[in-house]
Parts: sequence; C-alpha cells; structure tokens
Amino acid sequence: VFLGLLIGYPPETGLLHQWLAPVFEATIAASGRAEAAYNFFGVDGGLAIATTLLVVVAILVAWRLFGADMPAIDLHVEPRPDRVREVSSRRGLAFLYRGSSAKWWFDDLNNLFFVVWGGRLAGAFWWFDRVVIDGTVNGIGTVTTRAGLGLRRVQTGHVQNYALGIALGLIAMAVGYFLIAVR
Amino acid sequence: MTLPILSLITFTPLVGALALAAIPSFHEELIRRTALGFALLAWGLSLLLLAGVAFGSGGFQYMETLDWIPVFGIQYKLGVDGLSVLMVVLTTTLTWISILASGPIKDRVKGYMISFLVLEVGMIGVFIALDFFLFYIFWEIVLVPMYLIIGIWGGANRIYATMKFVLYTLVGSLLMLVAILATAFAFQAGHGGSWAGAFDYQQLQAWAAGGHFANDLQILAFLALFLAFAIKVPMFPFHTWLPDAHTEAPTAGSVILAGVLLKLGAYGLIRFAVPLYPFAAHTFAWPIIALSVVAIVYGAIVSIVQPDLKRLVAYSSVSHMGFVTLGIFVFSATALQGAVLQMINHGLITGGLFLLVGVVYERTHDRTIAKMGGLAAAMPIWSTVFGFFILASAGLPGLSGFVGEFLVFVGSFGIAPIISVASIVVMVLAAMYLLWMFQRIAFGGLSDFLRGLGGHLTDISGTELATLAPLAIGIVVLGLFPSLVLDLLRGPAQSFLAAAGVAVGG
Repeated sequence: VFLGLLIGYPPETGLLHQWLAPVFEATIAASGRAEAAYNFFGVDGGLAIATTLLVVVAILVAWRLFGADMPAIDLHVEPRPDRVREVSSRRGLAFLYRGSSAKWWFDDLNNLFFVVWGGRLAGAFWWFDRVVIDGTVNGIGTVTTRAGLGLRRVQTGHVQNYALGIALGLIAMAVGYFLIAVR
Repeated sequence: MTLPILSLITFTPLVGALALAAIPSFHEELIRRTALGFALLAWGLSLLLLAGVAFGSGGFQYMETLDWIPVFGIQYKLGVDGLSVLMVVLTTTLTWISILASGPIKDRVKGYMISFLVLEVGMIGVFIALDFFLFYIFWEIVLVPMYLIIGIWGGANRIYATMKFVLYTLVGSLLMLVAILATAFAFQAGHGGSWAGAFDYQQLQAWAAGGHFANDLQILAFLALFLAFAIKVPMFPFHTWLPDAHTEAPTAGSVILAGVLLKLGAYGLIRFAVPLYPFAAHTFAWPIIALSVVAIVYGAIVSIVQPDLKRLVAYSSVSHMGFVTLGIFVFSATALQGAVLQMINHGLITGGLFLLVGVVYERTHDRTIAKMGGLAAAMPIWSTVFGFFILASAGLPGLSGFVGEFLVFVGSFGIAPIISVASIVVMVLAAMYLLWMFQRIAFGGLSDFLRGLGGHLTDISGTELATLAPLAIGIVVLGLFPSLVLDLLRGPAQSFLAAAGVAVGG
C-alpha cells in the first residue's frame, strides 16, 4: 500500500504515470481524445477508497472470527481451532464460509463442464468411431465374405447342375432376345 | 553426361535389398549394418540433392526422361521441385532412423530389412515421379512391404490391422487407376488420338490449365483421386485403418507409416488432384475444408479418452493431418506453405513420439496408460525427451509444430475466419490429451506394474537416443528458422495456386 502511494501519487504526475505514459501515447494520438483527468470524487477515487475499505473490513472480520491472541495489543481473542467449526455452523456465516472454502465452486464448475461432460463427449465420439465408422467398414467386409460363402455353394461339382445352369441361361437369353427384338 | 541422381536415390535401396538377399540369414549383424549403410547412402545422396535444388524456382529440376511404353506415351520420367525434395529428404531420414531403431526385431531380420528397403524405393519414387502411370506404380509398390511389416512383425492383432490397411488403401488406389486412365484417354481424344504425353504430368497440367478437361470428367476423376488420397492421409471418415495399423505395427513400421506414408496422400492432393482438375477442386473445396476441420477437432477429442498409448498418438496423427488438408484446400500460399511444413513436422514429431513409445514398449511389453506411472523416476532421460516431443506435438511456439499450425491458421483466416476459430480450439485439446497422458505415465509414484519389472526398466540407450537426435534437431531448427523450408516452397506454392486458378497473392 505504501509503496503504491509512493510511486503512484500524485496520480497524474507521479513516478508510475511518467513511466507508463509512452505506452499510451500512440493510442491517444490515434483516437484523438485526451487522457481523462484523475477524478478523486468519481470513479477513480471511489474505486481506490472502496477497495481499501473492503480489505480493512475483511481483515477486521477475519481477525474477530478466527483471530489469534496478540498480547501486545491485548484483544482477548485466543487461537481456537474450534472457532472454525463454530463459524461454519452459524447461520449467516455458514454459506460465506463454505463458499470461500470451495473457492466459489469455480473448480467444481470446471470439473463438471470439461472433465465430466467433456469426457462423456469424447467417449461418445470414440464410440461413434468404433461402432459406426469402423462398423460400416467391417460390415462391408462381412457382407463380401458372406456373399462369397453363399456363392460358393453354386459350385456343386455335379455335371447335371451345370447342364441345368446352361439350359436356364439359354432360356433367359432367348426370352431376352425376343423381348428386345419385338420392340 | 550429368549424374542421374534421382534414379540413384530411388534405386539405391533396391540395390541394397538385392545385396541383402545375397547375405545368408544367420549373419544378422552384417544384415543390419548393410541395410543401415544403404539407407545412409540414400540419405546422403538426398542431402546432396537438397543442396542442389535452386531456391524459389517453380519448375522441375534434375529431370530424367526415358520412353518406356511409347505406344501409350508412358515414360520413365522423374523430376524434383521444392516440395518433392523436402519429402525425399524426410523419407530417407526417417528410413535410416527406422532401420537403426529396429534393434528389437529378433527373428527374420533379413526379410524385415529387405521389406524396409523396398518400401523406401516406393516412397521416394512416389515423390519424384512425373509420369502419372509411374506414380501409380510406385504408389502400389509401397503397399506390399508395409503389409508384410505389419503382418509379420506386428503386435497381437496384426493380421486384422494389416488386412484392413491393405484392402482399404487398395480400394482407393484402384479407383485412382481408373481416374488416371480416364484422364489419359481424355487427353488422347483431345489430341487427335495421339498418345504422346497422355501420362506426362507436365503436359497434362498444361492441358488442364487451358481448361480442356470436361467438367464431368474433372468431377469424377477428382473424386476418385480424392478418395485414394483421403484414405491415405487419412481424412475423416476414412481414417479408421490408421489407429489399428499404427498400434499393431512394430515401432519402426509405425514411424515410417506415420512419418512418410501419410504424406504420400497429401503430396498426391497437392501435386495431382488439384492442379489437374481445378474446376472440381473448387467445387468440392468447402466440403473438404469442413471434413478437415472435423478431422482436426474429432481426432483430438477422441485422443483424450484412449487407454492405449500408441493409439493415442495414432489419433493425434488424424488431427495433425487435418491441418495439412485444410491448408491445401483454402487455396492460399501461406496456408499451403504451412501445410507442407506441417507435413514435415508431423513426420519428425510423430515419428519421434512413436520411437519413444517403442522404447517403453520394449521394456514393459504393455502400452496401457493406466498401468504406467512414475516413469520420470525410473527413466528420467526418456521422460525429458518425451516431454520435449510432447510439447512439440502440442504446438509450443519456438518449435516447428507451432509454425506449421500458425501458417495454416493465418492462411485460412483470410478465406473465412470461422475455419481458423474452429481449428484453433484444437490447440487446447492437444494440450489436454498430451499433457494429461504425460502426467499419467511420467509423474506420480511408480506404479505397481512398473515396479514389478524391476531392473528390466532401463533408461533410454545411446542407440535409441541417436535415432531421436536428428528429429529433435530438425524440430528446433525448423521452429526457429522455418524460412529454410518455406523458401523452397515459394515456387511450388505459386505453381499450385496458378494451376488451381486462384489469383496469386493469398
């Protein structure tokens, strides 16, 4: 905090501002707008004061809830592990305690979206690859093999069957010829 | 009379294979040394070729032409430009590295080495053939040695994997043959029945540039060629032969399969499919771009849930090769250069990953990720090198993987930003599956399975490091000085765009 005050104050002419000014020169020239003035009673000051106040309040609250004994200051608060259990079960504070303990459930959200659902999506894609795409390819192979197995039965080795085949073929040719020639 | 260096490079491995055939099988050490020697010789010749190829020109150099079947205008015609020479150097490099990494192969070493050398002949021939028929012949030569390598020296499920690989690829190739013949017939018809130059790439390309191939022929022929190359690349949904083939192949077989064979398909797309049928290429560009983006994302997502280490790397290959096809079909010079650089990167990086996985497999004879853990403690040097290749595969800036991907992003962004946005997602996905896999196998406590191996779990040996060093050096050098490769590609990129009928400047 003090280092920040040292290099940042005054906000428009301090060390930090001088150091960073060349970075924004090009943008200021291109956009044609001047740099906004530092507004202590508007956004800039409000942000600085609000964040500092929040930090101070949080330190005080944490100290009060879980604080350690500091003999030099003598605040009569001793280090007590059971304080955590007590705070976490107090109605108002329970949710706050659980939330900050679970880092506001962002980790769990990430885990759910990417690890659990993403994993299921990946598994679904792999199933698709194995069963549908590979299945189609292997299916074509199976059809070919079965067709071959079926067709091989035509080769009976009996001359009578071959003679029958020739006769049937001749009849088919004659019928076809008449059908085409009549047209 | 100038030295026919291209024929020399192509047939040196064949001479090596014949020499090996003459050596009795029990001289195993001699066989290994001879095979490595011939592979290194081919490598040296290809480096000479690289030094000799002029920068920036788009034409073909070191051409050799011989009339082969004059009745049909088929010639023995070879030639290189920037694209071909890079692919040839990649092939020869990965071949000697694979042969060096074949220490674990213990039986029928002679057959194995002969297969590898014949495979090299086919691969180099594909990249430098300038006669359509000759290209097809070299393309088919690649199939049989690969079938043997996977089928004899592969893993437990090797027969299924190799039959699937061969039949799948063969279907595409046969359709390609029909397209080649149809093109030659159309050329012949357009030239008054004369067959001269009907299979000559340069003449066919000049004829196509004049818009003389009928649109119907273009569409059908392009589809046939596209199918053949899409199966080889592999593109979604023709990729399912790849996980099985990669997983079941021996380590060196996987390296060559991933490192070079996949590039045959991409090279075919760049060299033949688009320039000869530009109308069809433009008609189908958007569906192919969509398929490429699907491959990029789908390959990465499926990699995440793979339980087998080699299968994970295999699916990551699908994802990486999606970038290559994307870069080709957005018809931008930047993207095409990125695509070719990505071809080289993938060869180096995924080749390295398969070598490293092979090292572990030699020790553990198991590739299940769940069984491994704490390898960093047991094999620290291996883990360091593996971490390096993992980061390269994930596209870490400073290494070559990033440059290739970035160029494709930039090139496709100019065409349609949505493509880039969809594909950039993969950088997150790649980090997911690679880093999670690395964490599971390398970090944490030593798993029970690994502890049970005891002293068998030795760190990476000097020979194995020697196979990885050239790849690692290539990755770093290309990551910092990609212009070494990009300069060579400027000429071919211009010719490609001119042939595709796109105004140069994309």
